[in-house]
Amino acid sequence: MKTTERFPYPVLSAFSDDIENSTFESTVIYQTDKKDYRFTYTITLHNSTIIQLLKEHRAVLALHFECGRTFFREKYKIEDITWSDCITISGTIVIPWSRICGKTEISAFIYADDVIENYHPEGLHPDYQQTTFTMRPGEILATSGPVILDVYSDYEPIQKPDSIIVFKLDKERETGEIHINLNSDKIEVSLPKNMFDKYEALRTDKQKEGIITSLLGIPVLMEGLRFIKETVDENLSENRRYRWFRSLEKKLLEMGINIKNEENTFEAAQRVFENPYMRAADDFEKMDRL
Amino acid sequence: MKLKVFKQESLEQLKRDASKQIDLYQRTTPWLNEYFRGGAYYCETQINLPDNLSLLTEGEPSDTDKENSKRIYEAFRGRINPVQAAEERLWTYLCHETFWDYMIWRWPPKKEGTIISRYFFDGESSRALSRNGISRLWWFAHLTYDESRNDPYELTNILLYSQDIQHNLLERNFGRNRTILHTVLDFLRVHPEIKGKEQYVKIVKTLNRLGGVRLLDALGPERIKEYIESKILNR
Amino acid sequence: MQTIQLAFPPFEGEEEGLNDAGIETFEGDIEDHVARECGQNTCDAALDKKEVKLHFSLLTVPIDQLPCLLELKDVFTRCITYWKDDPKAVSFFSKAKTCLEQETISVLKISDYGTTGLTGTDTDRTGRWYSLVRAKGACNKDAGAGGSFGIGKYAPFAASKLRTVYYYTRTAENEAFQGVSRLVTHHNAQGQKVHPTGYIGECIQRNGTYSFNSIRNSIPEFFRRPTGDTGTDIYVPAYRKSDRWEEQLIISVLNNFWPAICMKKIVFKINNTAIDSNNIEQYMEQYKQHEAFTAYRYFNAYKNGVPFECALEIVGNSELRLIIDDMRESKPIAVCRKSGMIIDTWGRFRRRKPISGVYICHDKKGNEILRKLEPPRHDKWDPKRGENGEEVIETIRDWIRSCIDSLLKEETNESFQISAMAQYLPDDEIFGPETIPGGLPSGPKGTTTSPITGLPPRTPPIAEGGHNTTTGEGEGTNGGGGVKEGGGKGGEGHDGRGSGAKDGGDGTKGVKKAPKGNLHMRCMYDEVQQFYTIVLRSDAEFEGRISFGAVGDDGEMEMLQIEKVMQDNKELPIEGNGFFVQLNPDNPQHYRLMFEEKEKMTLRIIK
Repeated sequence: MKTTERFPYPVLSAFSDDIENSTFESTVIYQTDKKDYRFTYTITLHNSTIIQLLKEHRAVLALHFECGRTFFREKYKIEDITWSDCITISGTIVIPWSRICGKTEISAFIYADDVIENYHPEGLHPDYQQTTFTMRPGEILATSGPVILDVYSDYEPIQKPDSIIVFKLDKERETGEIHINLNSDKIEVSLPKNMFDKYEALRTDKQKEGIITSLLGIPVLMEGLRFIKETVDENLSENRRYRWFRSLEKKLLEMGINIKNEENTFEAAQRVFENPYMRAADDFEKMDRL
Repeated sequence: MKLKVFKQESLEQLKRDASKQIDLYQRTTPWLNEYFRGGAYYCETQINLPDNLSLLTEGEPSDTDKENSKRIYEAFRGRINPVQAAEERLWTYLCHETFWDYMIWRWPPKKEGTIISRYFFDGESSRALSRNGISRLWWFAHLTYDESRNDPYELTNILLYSQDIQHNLLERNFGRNRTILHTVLDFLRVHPEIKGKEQYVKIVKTLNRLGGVRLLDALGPERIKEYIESKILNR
Repeated sequence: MQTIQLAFPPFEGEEEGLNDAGIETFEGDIEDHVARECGQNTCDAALDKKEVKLHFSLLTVPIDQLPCLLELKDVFTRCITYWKDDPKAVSFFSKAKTCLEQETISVLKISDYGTTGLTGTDTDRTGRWYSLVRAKGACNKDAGAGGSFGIGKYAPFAASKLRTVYYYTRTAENEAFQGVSRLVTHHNAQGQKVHPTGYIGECIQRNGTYSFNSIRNSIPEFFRRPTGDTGTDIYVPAYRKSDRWEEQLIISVLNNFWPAICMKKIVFKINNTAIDSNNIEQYMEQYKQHEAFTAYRYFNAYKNGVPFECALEIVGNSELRLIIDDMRESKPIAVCRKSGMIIDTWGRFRRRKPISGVYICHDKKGNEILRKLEPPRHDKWDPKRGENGEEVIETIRDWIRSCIDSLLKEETNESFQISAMAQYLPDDEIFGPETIPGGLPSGPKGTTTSPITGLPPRTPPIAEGGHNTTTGEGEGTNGGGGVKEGGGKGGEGHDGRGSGAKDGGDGTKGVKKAPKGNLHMRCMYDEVQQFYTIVLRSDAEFEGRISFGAVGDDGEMEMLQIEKVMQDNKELPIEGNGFFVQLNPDNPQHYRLMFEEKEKMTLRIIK
């Protein structure tokens, strides 16, 4: 709904002076996290008649979202208001990133929830004289916006699944051993240049997947498992900030593995990868037959 | 089969060149491999589609929309979300490769305009989604699917009863609101005597005009229904 | 006049059972073997290097059209008696007998056209006729034809439930006909032990020795081709067809012979499906998702890949076409000779990206060398079969490697993942944070924690008093900050036409900027009497005709027809759709308007 036109009744808004000495303002910003957009709003309303109508639940305060790209159009009612003469309401509306993308229009509205007879708000412009209005359900008492935000999630919407283990080129080193970094969202395995090139080539062959998983995946995963195993309860929430940590915890839970009770991480790592040493042996056999 | 999507730059190249490549669009078999000679122009996703997915290509083309809409929606069910379904890279690839035979039958690519609107996304708005030859099938079903009905596709069938209904409802902003869309379609279901382009235009115009004065989204299905009845049935 | 009869030579050597005939090798993928062997034979026998045709067709033939076929019934009975302790043999021959109890029988006919036909006589051991029809496991060394039949001729027998095949050929000189039954050692009607292979043709017995001759001058009309129509027909009676034999044949033909088809060396026809260089692509597309179909990636490389050419040592002029694709299965390179039949697929090439390719040796001498490395089934180049075999193969492989390296040289990555690990340890909290190289929507990166600057609306609202709009202080789209949007009006009597307006700061939204002044309207609707009261103001002198539109939910406007307009209880004339107004600054005018549309609407002035 576009709200920059002339309604056939008085509207409190930035684009009209229908109602004076009053305020209806809104600010909306957004942040994204891994799954959602979090729209944080602050709405200021200063008009005693309209505040009274909201209080009596005869009017509703809502934020209206419309995304032209994904057929998304929803209103979110805002309740839990602390009442005073001039009210300021803040809060957050969460919309999954799977629902909207790109240009999104956000407007704040106060609309009649039922028929409001004899509406003659405080501060009504003298042009209206003594006219009173009958406001019908859905008719607008106040509006702010629209703000148009270009919302994008950080994430590629369509792609291959990703692993929590990533192999990186260590540009600093030409040769040497493989390094591992657990203090990151993914378990990062850094390979010096010469090794990186070789493994990057090797992994394109599906027939060697079992071998590579055993060779590189198992020891790396063991380090990850050990990290979880050795995390004491008071450090748990801190370590859970790493995505790989949460993901691996979840995986272990699903598999019924309590890593704290495991004698070693080697066997658990094999179970996570579903017996890669057998697949590796099969791969070797197949290669011999070539 | 794994769902594939165009790489962004490949899509852009193809779209940019579309007007110069009208002859390629006259072919009866897909030609992307030839066009992108030697290049990797698509990415494979982890989204699995049924191997036997095919679309009807016989009969009166527009009559196949209902069935094809269901097929596409079922095939993608639980596999993609609306943001993914708004991806031009996805639908454009399907149009040019997987469903090429369907596309050239349903939307013969004779004019540049048809190629851009039906084989690509023309613009960024939801209108593009309801125009693209394959994405429209998904969106029609997605927007009208209603699990609470005996036939969840009951409203899909109403929407696809005529192109005039689709154009009028989905190319208006309020068509994006599920309550409004479903209320209007259900009204048409209950009143099969209300038909023809003029009537559809009238309903949509009435609602649009109402939406100029009231926040339609605040009304709820009952009030919308009453309003349409009062205006259209002259009650 | 020759007489056609079925006869088995007297027993000699070792007894042969059902498993001994060399036919077993071909059971399983019957269609694949038949297509591959017959295609190979046909390509080899090309006449004048022209495009040859190979047709597979399924016929239903009255049993008595096929000479001596019914006589096999008794033979089968005697085979059962002889092999009564071998359940497999008993079962096989019992089924074979049943096939002969119908009036008609299904026959797979495999015909080649545009070939030389099977040249040579029954005794000419170097001739093609002898190799295919007569000899067992022989290898024709006819170098020009470039093919060796060997064991391949058994494939059609495996395809027959009667293990019987008829051959007919027409060459430039003459024609020949012969049937062959490859059964088991058994007793003949006279109780004598006989050889497993019987011949349907002429049998002459003289002084206790037998000679078996092909029919050359009284061939049944059913089999004959007109003079000049050279080529060979193989008839496979009681064809063991599967439900999808046509599809299987097509897939086999496409898998094995696509280069030959593309190079216009051969055209296939399977019943009514003709596959030639013009339509092969269509069939490739059609079958590309099929499980047994492996050729697409190589075909794709041939059609669309990057070509490399080189005169290699030993094998000479060679061609390689490579494409970067998404095929991660091993063996990315198909290899063939100029005959265009795929010999093998090769793996073990280091590559950073998935690729596919096809190697073709075009050199005549190179073809000779490579052919010698092929075993009878022509399904690999075996370095052990030639003197310098290893060197030959390594030269080719080295060259392929260098081509792959040069193709992938440009493509560099800084990280990779191993897809098997993604399968077990997916990063599943999100759909995936890393991008496919080169493809993602142009969303701002790094926005996870910082607020986004809202863009101004496409149609900015009217009141843009500088005091109530704050923009973000970030850089570009990545920055922090937010937009404050709203209608703050303090007690200053600010009417929304703030001086801070940057664009579109007109008093009335939607009205084009007119030199004479900006109109500002206030509007009230009387539901009972269905008229609008409007108050008009202008910030400069304004004279002109105005009309009205109704604005809808989507911001689009429809024109309204004025029915009546009043000012100070005086009716004003309606001109077209509008009426004339004259405004001075700070002197508002009141009008009462009635439209034809009797509804509460949101209005817009049109100047």
